[in-house]
Amino acid sequence: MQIIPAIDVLNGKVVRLRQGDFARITEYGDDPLALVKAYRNSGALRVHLVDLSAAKSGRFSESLPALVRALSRETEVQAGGGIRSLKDMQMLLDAGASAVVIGTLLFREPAVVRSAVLLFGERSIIAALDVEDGKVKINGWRRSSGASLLRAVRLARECGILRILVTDICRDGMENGPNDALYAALMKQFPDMEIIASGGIRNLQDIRTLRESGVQSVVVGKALLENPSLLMSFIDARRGLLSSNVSRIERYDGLAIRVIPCLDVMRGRVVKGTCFADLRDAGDPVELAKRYAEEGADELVFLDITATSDGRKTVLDLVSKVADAVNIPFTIGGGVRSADDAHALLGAGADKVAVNSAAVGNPSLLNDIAKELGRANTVCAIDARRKGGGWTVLTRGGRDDACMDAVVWAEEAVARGAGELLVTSFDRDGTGRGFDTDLLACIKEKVFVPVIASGGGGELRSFVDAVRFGRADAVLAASVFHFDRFSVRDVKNSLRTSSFPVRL
Amino acid sequence: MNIPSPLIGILQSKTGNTGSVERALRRLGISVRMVRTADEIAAVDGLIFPGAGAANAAMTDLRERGLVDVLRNYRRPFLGICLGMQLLFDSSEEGKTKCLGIIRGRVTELPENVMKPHMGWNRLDSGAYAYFVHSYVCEPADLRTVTMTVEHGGRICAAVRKANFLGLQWHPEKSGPVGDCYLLSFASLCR
Repeated sequence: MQIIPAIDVLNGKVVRLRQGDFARITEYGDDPLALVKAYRNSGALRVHLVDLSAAKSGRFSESLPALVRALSRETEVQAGGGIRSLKDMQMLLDAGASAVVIGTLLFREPAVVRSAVLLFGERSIIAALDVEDGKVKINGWRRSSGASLLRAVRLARECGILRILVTDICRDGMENGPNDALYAALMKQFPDMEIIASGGIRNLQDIRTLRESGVQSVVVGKALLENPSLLMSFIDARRGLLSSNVSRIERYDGLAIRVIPCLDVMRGRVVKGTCFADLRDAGDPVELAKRYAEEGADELVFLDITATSDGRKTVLDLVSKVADAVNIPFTIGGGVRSADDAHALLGAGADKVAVNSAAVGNPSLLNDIAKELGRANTVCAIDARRKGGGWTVLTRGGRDDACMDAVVWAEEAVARGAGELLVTSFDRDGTGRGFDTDLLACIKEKVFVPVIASGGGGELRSFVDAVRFGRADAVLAASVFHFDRFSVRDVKNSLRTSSFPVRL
Repeated sequence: MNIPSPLIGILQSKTGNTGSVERALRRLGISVRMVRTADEIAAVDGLIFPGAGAANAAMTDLRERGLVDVLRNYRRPFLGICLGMQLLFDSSEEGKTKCLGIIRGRVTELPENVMKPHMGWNRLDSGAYAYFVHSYVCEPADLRTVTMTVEHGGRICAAVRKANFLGLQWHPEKSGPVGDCYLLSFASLCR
């Protein structure tokens, strides 16, 4: 539990307001620095600094960063009051503030808050929500935002904010005890947020009550100004519980399972068939790519299935158009015969290049491409068919049997430089009978790179099975998406229901 | 309110593929110009350094073009992406490279026991997913410069900021709506 002394400054003086009323002011001298030093010497690790003049007028004052610069030499300072722009926030952070406290801005310009969270980091932004009768007030408590506390917390969360300071105005400066039920309810509802309590703390007992309800930090104003020894006595008694760092629940998540629509392209059109034959038209590749990106696809794979030497320019042109249109990574494969081919595709805007038949005929091609593009951008596509007790590698779109064991080939491909494997089951492709999870699992057992499951995705559960039983890192499908059997989001929802991490 | 859109420069390098970032900015309606020299850098409102390829080659390229001090003394918003972020630090294990030394700390190789390269969509502290592709990771000396972390065999640094210098280990140009939002935010910082 951390106690954060509040320092409210109005026209250079340290003051307290009763319930935010600018007519009911108590002054506590005009030397915030001396006060901060005293607090630090009593064990405070950070202070909560508010420029009340600015909070009231809504105009950020450069005297605040100047004060922060002085105070932050003594202790951590979170500071706010009148912040209205990214520049205001940057000025405070650069002056040494450990975090900036915003209030009104959240309601007036949530987009700016969202930007600040991205640019300055989640820990650097605290949303202060001042609550009166369930509604949040803004502009130095003088106006209502119209939002309920719950709506305001959700809004903050949508902006990426993880730290909120909740003040119960009815309790503030009134010394009738904190509203611990309110904090307990918030912590339950928003388990991933740090809730800082404020308002109404009178004594050690109040602080203990808050701690019992799970609150990790509390801002204390008047009680400390009136009785500075309170801080010392609490810290002495609870030194073991004092933590300098914010203790937030750290979640282990790792990488999301990727859902990848695959676009087989022939003569500039997307096509789809069964077992690599019987092709049907499925639309314009750029339009489809845009649609999938908007629907939440994590990545796209384009396979140029008629790749011939005279078609190379068409492919480069397509790659460039797709790169202009989408904001997610994409892989292009088909007809890549040399490191130069691969390089040209990357230059045209592709993120990764997949090689298939050419690498089977000339395995050192993988070494060359990995050297040129980096392992992360080098994908080896493997078409496999069940044969005997295992799987054999097919080339030329399934027409030839390379008489190589698919699992052995997968291992070799990775050893040579493939940073990812795209494993297609020829037996299942286009059938909708589910991915060949045995094939996937056997390959996953042997390699330490991501494996994309392909071929057979028909029902939603087959995607979940590919991850659960095949241990796939990504799932790829074509027909089900092209012909609207279900959407990328449907697949993600099923994965999430089964507790696999997905980007939603 | 009619605020003129800032002009963002993308620092071209011999080693890096700058196309994706340029395309992303154009797609978002942000004015963009490729820059190579100190004069060209001075003419834009903010600078993005995508940086790809190997650390050593990229630093050699910057040195040969006389840009090391230009970048060190840059005062407008600067965004280094992936290798462009790593080069902001003192040094990198990749090719034992001395880097720009703008942010204290070093860049180390990801350990053997995690998937390397760290590639795919990983979850930032905020819960949003961002697209990563890298094998080296920044270890800032001052943890206060870290603005985002991500889980990959332990918490690793996903973004940094020191004064006007921002760095992203992930690729905003490939990270869907979150990436778009980051690039627009950067542009608004450059106004």
